[in-house]
Amino acid sequence: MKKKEVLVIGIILLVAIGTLLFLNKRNGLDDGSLGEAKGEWIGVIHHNKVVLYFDSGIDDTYTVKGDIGEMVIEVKDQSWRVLEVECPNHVCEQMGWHNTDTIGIPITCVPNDIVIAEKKTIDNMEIQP
Amino acid sequence: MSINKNRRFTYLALLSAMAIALNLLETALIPPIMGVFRVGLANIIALLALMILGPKEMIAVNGMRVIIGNLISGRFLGSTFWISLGGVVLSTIILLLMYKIKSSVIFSSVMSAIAHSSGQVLVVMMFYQQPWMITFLPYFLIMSIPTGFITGYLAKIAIDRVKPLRIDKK
Repeated sequence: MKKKEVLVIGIILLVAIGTLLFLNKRNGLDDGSLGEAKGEWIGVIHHNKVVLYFDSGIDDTYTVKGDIGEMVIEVKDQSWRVLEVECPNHVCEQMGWHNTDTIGIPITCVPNDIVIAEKKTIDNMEIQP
Repeated sequence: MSINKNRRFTYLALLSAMAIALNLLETALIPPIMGVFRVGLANIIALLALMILGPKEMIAVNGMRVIIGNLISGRFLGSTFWISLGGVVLSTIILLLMYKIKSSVIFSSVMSAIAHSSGQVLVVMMFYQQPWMITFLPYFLIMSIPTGFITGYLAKIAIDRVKPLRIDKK
């Protein structure tokens, strides 16, 4: 690889890391309007609107309705996952367990237009409460 | 059809078949990173097609990879098809651009991987009206660099080995 090429890749990497750091910093600005959770407040977004908030500290299962069908979310030991979903891809099921330490992308089901993300992340997304 | 044309057509068919097979095998055998991110092994074949056959053939290989690959896996015209098409279209454009400016294989591969994931994010943002998906882009960019390196390195090895069989463009 040429020097210029290494430089371009370096700049892209720096911009990506910088954006991530900026977003994480903004994520820390929680207004706490939902009150104190045992674990963390996790929101379920459907059509750009939060349809459910659940406490990751309370073991339970929740069912939400998406564009194609129902999605069952399981909460256990401060973690959450999609247990079952009615959709052709089942990508969100394959995303497995998520918790507050999980780095990366929130659980997303594109066909059902559902996203499960921490409240901190949702506040950053500017989603309607 | 001249002998050279026949050889080119055979190469094109073989490379397309390899790209489709790699695409399907990767989907079936290698679990995605963070649940959504794949290495993109079929990109090796796209680079190989570009270097030994040319731009038109690379477009054909990429097109067949998406259309036939999705037809075989039963996802044709579904959401994953459009997302994958968005990624392939943008990565093909970037690969053509890299070919024109004579970039190295590894750099072309990294840029193509970045374009691929950016294209997928763009499709979800625009067609599925989820503008906040842009917040995923930094993760995709960071993941695309090592995966682009891997596919670029493998493509470089493959190109060096296939070079003796290279077809002269006429």
